Amino acid sequence: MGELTASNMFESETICADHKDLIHDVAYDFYGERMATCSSDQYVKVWDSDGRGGWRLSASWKAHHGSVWKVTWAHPEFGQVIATCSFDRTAAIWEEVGDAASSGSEKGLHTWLKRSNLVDSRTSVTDVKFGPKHLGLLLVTCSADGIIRIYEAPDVMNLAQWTLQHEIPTKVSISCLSWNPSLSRVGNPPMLAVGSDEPNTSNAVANVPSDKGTACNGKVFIYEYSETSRRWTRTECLSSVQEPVNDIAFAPNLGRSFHLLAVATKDVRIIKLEPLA
Amino acid sequence: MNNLNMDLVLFRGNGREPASNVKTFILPDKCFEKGVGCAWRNGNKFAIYPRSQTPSKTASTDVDNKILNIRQDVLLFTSILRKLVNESNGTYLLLQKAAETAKTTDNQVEFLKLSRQYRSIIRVCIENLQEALSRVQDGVEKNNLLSYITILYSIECIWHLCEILYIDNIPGDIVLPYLLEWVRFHFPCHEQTASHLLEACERGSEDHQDYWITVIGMVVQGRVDVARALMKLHSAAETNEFKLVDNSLRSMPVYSVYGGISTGEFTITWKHWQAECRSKLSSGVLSNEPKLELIMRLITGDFGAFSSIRGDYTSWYDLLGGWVMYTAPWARRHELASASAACAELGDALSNSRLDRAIRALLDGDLYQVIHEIQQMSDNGWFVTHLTDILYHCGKLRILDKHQTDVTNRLRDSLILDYGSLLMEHKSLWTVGLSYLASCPPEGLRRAELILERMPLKTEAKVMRVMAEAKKYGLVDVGVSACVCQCAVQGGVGRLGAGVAWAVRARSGAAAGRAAHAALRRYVRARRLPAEDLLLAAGPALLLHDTLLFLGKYCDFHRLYKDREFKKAAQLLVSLITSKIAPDYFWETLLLDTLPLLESDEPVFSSSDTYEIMLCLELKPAGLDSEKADLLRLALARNLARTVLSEGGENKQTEDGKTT
Amino acid sequence: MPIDVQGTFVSQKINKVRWIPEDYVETKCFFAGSWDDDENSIKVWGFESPHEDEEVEYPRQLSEYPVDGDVTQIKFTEKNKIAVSISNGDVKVLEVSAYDKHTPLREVYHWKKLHNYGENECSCTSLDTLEGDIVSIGEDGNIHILNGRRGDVARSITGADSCSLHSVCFIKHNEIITGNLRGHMKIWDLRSPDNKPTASFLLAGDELASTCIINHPTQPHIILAGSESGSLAVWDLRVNTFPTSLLNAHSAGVTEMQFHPENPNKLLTSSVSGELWDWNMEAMTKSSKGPDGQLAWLSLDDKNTMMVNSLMPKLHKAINTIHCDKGRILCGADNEAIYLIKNLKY
Repeated sequence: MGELTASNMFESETICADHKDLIHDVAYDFYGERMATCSSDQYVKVWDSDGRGGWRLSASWKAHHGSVWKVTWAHPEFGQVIATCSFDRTAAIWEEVGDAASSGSEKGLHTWLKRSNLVDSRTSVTDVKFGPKHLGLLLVTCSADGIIRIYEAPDVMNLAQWTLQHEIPTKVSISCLSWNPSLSRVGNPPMLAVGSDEPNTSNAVANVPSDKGTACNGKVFIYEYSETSRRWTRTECLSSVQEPVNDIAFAPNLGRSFHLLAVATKDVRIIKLEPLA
Repeated sequence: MNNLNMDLVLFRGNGREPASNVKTFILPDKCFEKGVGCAWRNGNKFAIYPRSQTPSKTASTDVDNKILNIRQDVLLFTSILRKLVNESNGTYLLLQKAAETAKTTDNQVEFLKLSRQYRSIIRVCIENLQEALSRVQDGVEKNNLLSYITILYSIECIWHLCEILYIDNIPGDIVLPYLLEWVRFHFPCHEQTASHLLEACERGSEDHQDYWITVIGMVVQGRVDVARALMKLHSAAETNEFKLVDNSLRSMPVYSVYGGISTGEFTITWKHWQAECRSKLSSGVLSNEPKLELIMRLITGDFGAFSSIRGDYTSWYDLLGGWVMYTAPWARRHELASASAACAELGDALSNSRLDRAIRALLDGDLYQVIHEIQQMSDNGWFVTHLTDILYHCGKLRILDKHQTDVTNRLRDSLILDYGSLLMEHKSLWTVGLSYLASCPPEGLRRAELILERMPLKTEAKVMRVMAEAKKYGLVDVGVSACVCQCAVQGGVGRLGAGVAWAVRARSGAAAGRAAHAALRRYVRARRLPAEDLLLAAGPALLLHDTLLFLGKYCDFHRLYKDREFKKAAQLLVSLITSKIAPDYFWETLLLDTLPLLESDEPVFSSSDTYEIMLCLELKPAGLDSEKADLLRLALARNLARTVLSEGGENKQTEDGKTT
Repeated sequence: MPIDVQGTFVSQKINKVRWIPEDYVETKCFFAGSWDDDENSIKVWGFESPHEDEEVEYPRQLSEYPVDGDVTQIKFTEKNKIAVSISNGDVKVLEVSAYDKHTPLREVYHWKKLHNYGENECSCTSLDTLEGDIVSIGEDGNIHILNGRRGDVARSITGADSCSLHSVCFIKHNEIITGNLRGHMKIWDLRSPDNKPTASFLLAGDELASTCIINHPTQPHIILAGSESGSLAVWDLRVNTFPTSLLNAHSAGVTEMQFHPENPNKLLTSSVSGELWDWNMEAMTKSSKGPDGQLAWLSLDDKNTMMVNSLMPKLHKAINTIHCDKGRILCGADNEAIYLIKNLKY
């Protein structure tokens, strides 16, 4: 009898993204059926799965006046909505409208309208993410000057109206962020993790005090929202991460009592966060 | 889902030694050299792309931007193996039910039945594969089928042994007859030759090139009768040497639980018999008949003899039944470790395949090792999941972690969760996967919820089916969310009626409001009310949202107007105006709707109605351009003039009536 | 002989099964349409016994016709021709060879994207046939009357419903009934030029879809509708245009209903809950005449008036389709199996 463990096979297929410059982000929609890409060529492209393993370009447009760093999808309950952020210091919210035939655009391409432009930042907006659905329609951005901004659309029907709810200065350059997707109804307050790409010169970060007053030279910070004080506060600084952070992501919560956070620096770490009882 | 980041390690090349469960890929293109990003899609699918953290200084036009979509190729999703997946799912669910009743009554018989059912499913699958193999021409496809067959043969073999050792109810725990049956079933190597020879029934059968190997094969498989019958066909069968061996074989005591003697007594007779055989052997009468001598040495349990024939067999367990039979036929189930150790050392062919290790571990009673071995098989966890589950329910599994805590149920659950999640990835097999996850609450249900809500919903038939499944397992939120998403999808393609219907189904005020707003905006734009059929029959569903209620009433106003019930239409319109639930963008429409009614022959608005409308017109001037506003003012004034006159008279009369 | 059930796993979820009628011999072959998979198809299967004298018969695949989407309905337009509705919005008429069932199905007519949202895909959810005429419905809320002999669209009612339509049935040659996502039923007179229903009503107050509608083979004025909730409505169009009673039947949606072709007092129903039932209709039609024209909910506990038999142990997955020919019933299910039930008394 032959060996029974043929290593599990993986298949791959290649898509030529056809961006005229470097790609900075690829994001799948909620179902994994659509894919958005963004690039330094200032364009955003949307691709639709054909159900047979292939991808068809369904929209492509110039979204910003600078490199587009990140693209992210809203929950489909809010419609076909994406947010982008850019070196041009803005973040934008886009909605797909109507069917392809009516809009008079290029044949077969869908139209995405800019519903809102968020211009509060004075530096490059480095990441943007929609909040978990159960919190309503929330958006968080972060920028190179270290300010985290949380926006809310009070009326989910009106994507043109966003109010800036919170501005959290971190004093270090922030490169990426991730919402904790855990439901708040089971006792998890809204939580964000942010990663800094500040180069590792010891004096640059040593002076950043956490809210508890202790200095921390880590590169990943956890912020939590307190219902009582109605403020976002830094509750944790992960001192184990000392290298500049490229990307950060919470794992989906499967009913665990703790949270899992993946942090990409020069290597990848999985960090377990256990809420205090 | 949660091992996403483990895999990421690969692409970032951290220089550390990768863990044993990490799979490594070589990225084909140069464009991945600088830095690589990864985006998780769903299930075991993700994309990697060349990613840069910094903007390029010079916009180059020759950037090579390739996105690589990667997915795991799952063996179980092969069409022919899907039968195994579906059929075993039925057995699995029956087993869960049996386990439920086993809590109160002994249910071992039922478990054995289900274990056999699993084995027969495997058997059918092997037969299907063999049939398919006989039809295919393509070399690659042939190889695939062959490798599936190999995998399933091993599964069948291990499962059967496991059933004997852990699930079956063996009288007196004497395992030999079962072990022999197992060897014969899975390694039927000489059976055909034996039956050919017996059928031909010719004296001098030893001329057949496989004669002796067949006779000896029958001896080590414990088929003493067949061996004797074959020996009778030898041309020298009547010689004393043959008669001596035949006699020894014939007189071998066989233990039977129901034979009326104790194992102790049996052991004594058996040892006596073997001593006799040994003395015959040492007398040297057989020295001229080396094959007969070999048979005698085998039945006396001579290690050297077994070792000398090991080369004729592909594996050591071919000889296991014979070894136990001629060394310790009274062995109980848990006393097989030494036999397996002895057999594994036979000959010099060192075999250490996964199947070898699994069978060794099984005979040693080390179930932890068994699970560890079969977990590595490339059947995507089908075997390890189902076997672990049945052993767990039979109460035969106890796995301790390094802190000596019992982690058996956690092990079982984690296997089922992984297997269920894997199946949920498949477009068609998701319902099967769901039934596995649902059998592992609470984490299974939580996982099911996360995967189910991400199920692409291309048709309403699928939406309804997802909702039915969600309802079956109490996943209310999934159902609601699917409706709200469907509402958004229908709104997106301009099907506002369907949008409202889905919002109502979700009982979602927000979604209902959104759909209603979309309908009103369309009316302002195109003067066409969508979904009148729905709105006029909607009833209490309209109460979900103020705007939806407004839309419903406004629809009703149109119906009344069309039916020429002007008085009622006017009443409704006034109440819509005064209730102030109309959205701002709709004010103009609403106010201008009064115009034709104001100018009807019979006055339909009372003076107080007219005052109300006037008030609203003046309070909300922004919505109306001045020309239209003036037109309306004029009409209102005229209406007031004619109504005040007639009403004035009436009022006076009633006042007079009171005073007098 | 007792009822005998044989299952065969076919590696496809089966959404529709149909026996292919034979003139002088027992039916041996059937169509099976699949759904909810990356690749779907309509296959022709034939039963054969591995050994001459054996009772057990196994279906073998004779031909396969790939389809770009879920097969949502299969109905005969002629003896060897079927109309097929597909979730990509297409309707096709396919022909099976009368002589050799191994021959691939031949496409007779193809209405591409008959149902659509402009450029976007929209499911053709069901169809019904009557003497060569086809009526198709879709999630777009449109109704099309197709001529299965000439291959043209005879009539279209666009915007027939603001919601998606899910069930349809010919009442007469010129009259159809449709049911939508909310259980809103409409009766249409095809002779009338305006696109307005002649009657409309709600199947039940629960806002759930009407999943299938059929009429009585010998008394076409008796209509049955199955609901997504698992309940069954029966009414007599001569008395009322709307049902007066609803039966709480299956614990989940009714997927298909069929009157026994030889005995119209026998009704078969299948359900998402994995049940396959055999009803005594005599009792049921009686109860459908509600006392005072009010909608009455009946429960199945009342076993005296209803005779319901379960024909097969409850399956753990949905049964999507049934088709009965004399004493033999085929059913197709979501566990990727086709079952043959033999020795049904009728």
